[in-house]
Amino acid sequence: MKRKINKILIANRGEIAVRVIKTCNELGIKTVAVYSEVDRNALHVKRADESYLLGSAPATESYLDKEKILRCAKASGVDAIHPGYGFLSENPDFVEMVEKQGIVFIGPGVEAMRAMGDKTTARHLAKTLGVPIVPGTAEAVTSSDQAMVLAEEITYPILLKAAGGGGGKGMRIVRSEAELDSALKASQSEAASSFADDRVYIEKYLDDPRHIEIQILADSHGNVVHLGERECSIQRRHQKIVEESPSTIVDQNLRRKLTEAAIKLVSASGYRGAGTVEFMVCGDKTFYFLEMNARLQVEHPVTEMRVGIDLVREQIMIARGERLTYTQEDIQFQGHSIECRIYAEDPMNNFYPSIGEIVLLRSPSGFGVREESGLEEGCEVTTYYDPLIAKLIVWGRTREETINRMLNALSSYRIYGIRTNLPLCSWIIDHEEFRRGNIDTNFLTKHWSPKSSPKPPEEIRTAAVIIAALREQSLQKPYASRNHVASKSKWRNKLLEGLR
Amino acid sequence: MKSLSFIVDDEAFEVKDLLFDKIIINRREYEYKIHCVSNGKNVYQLIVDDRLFDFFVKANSDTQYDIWINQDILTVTVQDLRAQIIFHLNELIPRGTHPSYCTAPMPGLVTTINVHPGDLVEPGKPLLILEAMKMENEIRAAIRGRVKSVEVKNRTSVEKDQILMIIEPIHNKEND
Repeated sequence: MKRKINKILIANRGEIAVRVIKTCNELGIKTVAVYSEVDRNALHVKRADESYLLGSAPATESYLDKEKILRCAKASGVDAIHPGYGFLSENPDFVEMVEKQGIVFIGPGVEAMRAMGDKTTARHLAKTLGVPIVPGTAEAVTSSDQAMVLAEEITYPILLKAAGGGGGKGMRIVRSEAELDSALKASQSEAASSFADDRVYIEKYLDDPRHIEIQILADSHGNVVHLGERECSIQRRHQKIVEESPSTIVDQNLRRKLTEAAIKLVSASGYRGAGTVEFMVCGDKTFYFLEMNARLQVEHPVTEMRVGIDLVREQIMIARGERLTYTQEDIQFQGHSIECRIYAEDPMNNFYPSIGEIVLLRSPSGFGVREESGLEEGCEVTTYYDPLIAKLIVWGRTREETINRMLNALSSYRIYGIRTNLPLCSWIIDHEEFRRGNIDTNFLTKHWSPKSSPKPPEEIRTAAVIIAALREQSLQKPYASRNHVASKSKWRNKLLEGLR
Repeated sequence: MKSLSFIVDDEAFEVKDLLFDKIIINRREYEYKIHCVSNGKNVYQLIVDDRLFDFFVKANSDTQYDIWINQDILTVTVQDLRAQIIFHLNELIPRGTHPSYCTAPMPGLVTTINVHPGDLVEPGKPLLILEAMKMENEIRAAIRGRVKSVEVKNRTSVEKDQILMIIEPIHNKEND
């Protein structure tokens, strides 16, 4: 069934709202932005054809308020809602409410979203399709003899996990049979004292796994294609920082297995739209299904740069009920692409969020350089929403060319007024092990500490001292200068007011 | 003028002479010029010996500020006469009784308090969790000491630099 989409409400904010608006403009589709009180001056509000206030700053009063968003959708007469990522993008109740009003939800259907959103259902589906999942026991182990048999099956190293709770309590990594008996006893007693429950499960322990995901597009006519992999192993506390495609660990054989598994899962669940199937990949190239994301991913531009397909455009086309205009064989992969996520947080100070007004913004540009951002000079970064403020994506013919292009782009980026993770991104991209492609999800834990960042060069420190001296002088009244006329001093003093 | 001393990212600098276009830092003379960047946001240009820098200054307190210069952000601490007096006063207070204030590094919502008055804390021990930008931020103890008082309640919003707890430092020898 074909559906008309001439006007879209974007139920999101920040860089992704701006990103969706750009594609809508290209397609001649009118756009409606929604915003909270603190986002009145945000870029997405200015870029849209119409903007509607949702409510006060907390997301529950604005971007998560389903009724209010639906009211704005009806008031503005849109045909469709694009949810972006986060907020309501994976909320099946919202999808139902939207569709009930005869408005198109740009994303998968409710059933597929529910099936994929629930981890146990998704895991079960993977198992029935023969897609590997992290092996483990369904029942708690009772004796060390039983544990030995199970561990043998799962293969070492294994992880003993308390059934009663998390937080690392009762958790033991066991690398060989010799360690198993004592580890099991320790784990059980720790679990018992922590959770009053001594049940312990066995799961396969993955040593320094890599995070690899497959981008999928599926139309409502049963056509499914993959757009290759993205590696997102550089993370901190499950927050991705650097993503790239292709992955340095994925060869033709592994790529075939991963993409086949992803397509199998998507086809079986009746999924429609753009989606991502995530896997953990070990050093020996064994892989396990992790989860599926039923939405556009933050890192989708990495794929777009290599295949030349606008994923937001495809989402809209699929929602209109149109067919994919290409088959798997038509998709050509070119060169290499890397994305750095720019977060408003300070790596030197425990990654605390940094807030304030952006007083100067100079975005990198040039051949193969793309910036997706929700920022402009004068806008305010607040504590209310996600610290992701921009993304920098570069493309190059080879990985080395891409790395060098990214380093140059990062160093020309200027964001004054808040602290960001730009220096950390430069440090990662330029790291010897990253350049070698030798990365995994523990990369930062293994290699980074606040002391890793290089000291600013001598001339920068000298400049800082001059600025500090000028500021102190401007604070001292009356202004005293030994060898210059008063008028000149007055003018200088006026100039320096902004330093206070 | 009197001399000024600054700490820039843990390194000490002394300014002996500051003229309209010349400055002497650590006994070396530099020529400089300063201009305003007209974007209405107090962003400046500094030219030192013909090299150009863009910069912006944001004060953290009376004696400490952050300076954005090109791709770096530096923290400058002023060691002026007043700051030096305060510093020395702090030194004079006997250790172990001078309370240390644990303050909020940013505005946010207190979601968990991990310690109670009287608890012994080691550096790095999580004291409470402050939620901001959907992220949970652990506020950790900077020193070894005993929690004297908890100044906030759970589920309350706090401003930047608001006092969260008072911790009495414990000198290592006391427990040896």
